[in-house]
Amino acid sequence: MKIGIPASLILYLFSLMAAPLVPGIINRVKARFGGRRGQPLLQPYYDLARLIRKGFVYSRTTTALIYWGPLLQLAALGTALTLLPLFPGVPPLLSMPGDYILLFYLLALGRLFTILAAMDTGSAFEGMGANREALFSALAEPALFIILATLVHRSGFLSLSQIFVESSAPLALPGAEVMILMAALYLILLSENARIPVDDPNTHLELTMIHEVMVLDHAGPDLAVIQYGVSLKLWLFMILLCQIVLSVLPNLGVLMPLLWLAALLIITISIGIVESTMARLQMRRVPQLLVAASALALVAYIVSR
Amino acid sequence: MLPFFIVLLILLAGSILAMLFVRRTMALWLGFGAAALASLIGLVWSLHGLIGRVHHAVAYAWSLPYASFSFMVDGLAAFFLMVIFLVSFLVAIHAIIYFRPYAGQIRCGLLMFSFNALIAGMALVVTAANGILFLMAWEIMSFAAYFLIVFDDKKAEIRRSGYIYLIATHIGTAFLFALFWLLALKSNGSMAFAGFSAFRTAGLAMQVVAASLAVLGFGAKAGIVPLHVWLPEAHPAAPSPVSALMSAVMIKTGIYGILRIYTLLALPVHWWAYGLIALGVVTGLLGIFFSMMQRDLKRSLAYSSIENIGIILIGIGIGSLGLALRNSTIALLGFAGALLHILNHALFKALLFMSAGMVVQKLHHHDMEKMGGLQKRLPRTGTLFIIAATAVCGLPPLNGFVSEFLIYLAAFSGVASPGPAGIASSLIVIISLSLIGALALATFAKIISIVFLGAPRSPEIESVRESTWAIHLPLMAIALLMFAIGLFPDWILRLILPATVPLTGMTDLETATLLAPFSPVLRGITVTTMLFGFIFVCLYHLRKNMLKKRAYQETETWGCGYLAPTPRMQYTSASFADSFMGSVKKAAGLDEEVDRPTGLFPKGQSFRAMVQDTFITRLYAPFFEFSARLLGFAQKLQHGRLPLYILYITVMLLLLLVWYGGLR
Repeated sequence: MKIGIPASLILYLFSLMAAPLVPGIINRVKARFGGRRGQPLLQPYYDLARLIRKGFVYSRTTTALIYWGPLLQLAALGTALTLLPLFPGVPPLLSMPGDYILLFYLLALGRLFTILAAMDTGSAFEGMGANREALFSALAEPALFIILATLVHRSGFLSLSQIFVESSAPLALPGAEVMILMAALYLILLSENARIPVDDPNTHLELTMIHEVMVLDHAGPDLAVIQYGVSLKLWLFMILLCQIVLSVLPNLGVLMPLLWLAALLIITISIGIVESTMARLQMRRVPQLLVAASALALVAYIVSR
Repeated sequence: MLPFFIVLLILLAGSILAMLFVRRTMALWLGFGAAALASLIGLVWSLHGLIGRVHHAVAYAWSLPYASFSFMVDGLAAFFLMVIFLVSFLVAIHAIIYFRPYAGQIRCGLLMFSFNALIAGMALVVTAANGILFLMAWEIMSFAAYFLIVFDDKKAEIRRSGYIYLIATHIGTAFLFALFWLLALKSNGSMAFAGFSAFRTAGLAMQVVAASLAVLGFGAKAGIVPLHVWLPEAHPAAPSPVSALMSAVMIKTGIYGILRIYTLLALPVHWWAYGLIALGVVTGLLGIFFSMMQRDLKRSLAYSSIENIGIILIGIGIGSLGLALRNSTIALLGFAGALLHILNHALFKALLFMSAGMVVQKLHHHDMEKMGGLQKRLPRTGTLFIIAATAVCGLPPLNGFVSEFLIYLAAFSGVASPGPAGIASSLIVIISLSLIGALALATFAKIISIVFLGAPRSPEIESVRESTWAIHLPLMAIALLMFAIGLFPDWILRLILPATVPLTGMTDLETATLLAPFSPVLRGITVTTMLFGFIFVCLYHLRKNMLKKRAYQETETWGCGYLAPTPRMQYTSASFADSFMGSVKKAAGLDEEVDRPTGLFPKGQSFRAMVQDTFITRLYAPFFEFSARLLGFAQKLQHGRLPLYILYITVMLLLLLVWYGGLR
């Protein structure tokens, strides 16, 4: 196991602070597409601050699991981010062979307790959301692990920090293959973070929601923890995608931070564009999309031999 | 070996004493107390053997042909003994309190007798070093388990389950008879395990036949798909502590058998690798898929045991792949992961069955659709169940994660290694492990939610109260042990290292040197999970402080504005499983009958759904029906009418007389 350098800590803290900005930018893009001015960019922060100041409301049916869920999810995400190299060339806070397994199993732990927190209310709607979340993430899991296997296979290294930091030309994938890999990861990013075309974060009909319906009975500080967790999870997947994108570009030295920010911004805006221009898929089509992501990842794995 | 024989003696004395004093409550203390004491001695002895790398071997003459009382305890056997005695110890203590309502009944004496015989049988199986002795121990174990399964023999469905188990175990044993006969035949008629080394010179075909017989025979006990059908029948039928003992350790003797034969045969390792990975993937995926579909709590847990047997086989397979690739790191990681998963599964499945058993004892049924809201009434049981379920999904910071991590790491090393051989099969292992893990998460999320969360689905749950804390003590010990392995995996791996020696063919020193670079990795798990715990505790206290200052309110669950919600509107076990079955409902064994309302004034409507193991309905039932038809002619001879039998005897005698006369 290796412990990172001060730069890693700064990047980690920066991530914790910057993550809620991403939904703000996505909302701005969507507003522009709809011909509106949109919320302030910092609206997610205002929302968090507002929720944190509120009181607690619980259903009589619930047990302690309703607040264990959000807390465990946030703790899992906070830990998972220490395992991910956040910036090209800078090692993560913690790293060891197989760290990606721990990273995604921590996310799975958060997911289990999010589902349990939803089911704790005994609501049929939340059952529906929990059920869909369990199914769709089960289908996304193999795709994610094939992507990881491709990274490991391509680089010959067993830890994320070695894959992205220590090797000079980490992936050395020719254009087409890295495009396929990125496409697969992008689909997983959309699905795991409950974005269109899998789930609509702005929907107002309980029957069609996935993630939003799971948190219907959470309020106040618990909801703030959930909202913050949502933005951290999106940030985590964006960073992973960004690392793959940047690993095929030449090292630009001092311009690297700019390139990094630009890549993150482009991914953010692209999510906003997808959400503005696409309708969400029918529920029964979602598994097909996720299987397609697995198939794409498999192609990338086979081609990268 | 003296302590081992003392252990057997205590078990024997306990069972006889329990039978003698069966009318008194003291019998429980005598029977299960003896089991606990014997297991504790055995545990210490096996740990001593494992840590001190002490090998035991003794042989005493036996008048039976080919047989001898020969015992051998190497690293592998010592590891299995440790698992058996550890779980038996904890289950026996739990059983003393669990069976109190049955105290004073005759069948309780038989239960304790069989319980102790089962422990003794399992201990003998993993130490026997002679084919005949092994088969005898195997049958003691199998029959003891049968009497435990049919404990509640007044119910017809329990007798039926016992019958299915009896058939399955005998078919398995038949393959084992063939296996040992073949081994002895090619080793100059010797039934001693040491003598079987001569079999290594036999041809490839012989090795394949022997390995197939072993996988079929031992696989029937372990629950490899499609030989698994007895597990989901026997586990719900047996009393829960017995289910715990069977699922946690007895089915592992099947894995022990496969591993022992693995060390005895000379089958090329890549054959083992591809065969076991294929079997493991099928067993794991189908096991967890069927587990999701069940509405019977204990049946669902039984299918999850099948899934875990799949993971163990995958681990052994990837270990063999490492040997085939001449990559000893992969081999060590694979075998160590498989062995650790044997221990881990023993712990969390014992915990799951024992906590499920306390729910069953309160409600007198296993039907999840009639449960719900139990976490409020049984907080300790529920919390223990949730901990065990988190572990069975392979999630950190519990023990299940560590063994799956090792198998994953072996597979990822296979992916990273050059050469096409490992790349394809390693990827298959990674894909199936991730899918099995995600489906296990969904399955156990469903089980916890339907059983413990939400509102009660039947009125009698309102009056359920938690049992005395003493019954939870062994369960808490298991939970603590699971956290200890999950948070500090380094020590447990060093403990089980000697068990990998017979499998990898490396020396003790070589395995230790190979493992050394992985100590930092395992410490990495410690640091990361500790950090996770630290963040969680911080957040928890932050929330607690907020709770003091803020307004606190309790209301109804949001029902979309609907004013009269009832518990029946909640998501059910079947509705949760429905989306997972997709378009394969029929093939998966779900039988649905829908009578839809029709016309302007619809009258009756009904819906009925039943889940049956598709291997029973599509494979075994037709097969046994076919053989019944085929052997139908024999029925004409066996009428049960006395005059007919007298006629048979007379005809036979006449024929013999004629034959005898003809000879002269």
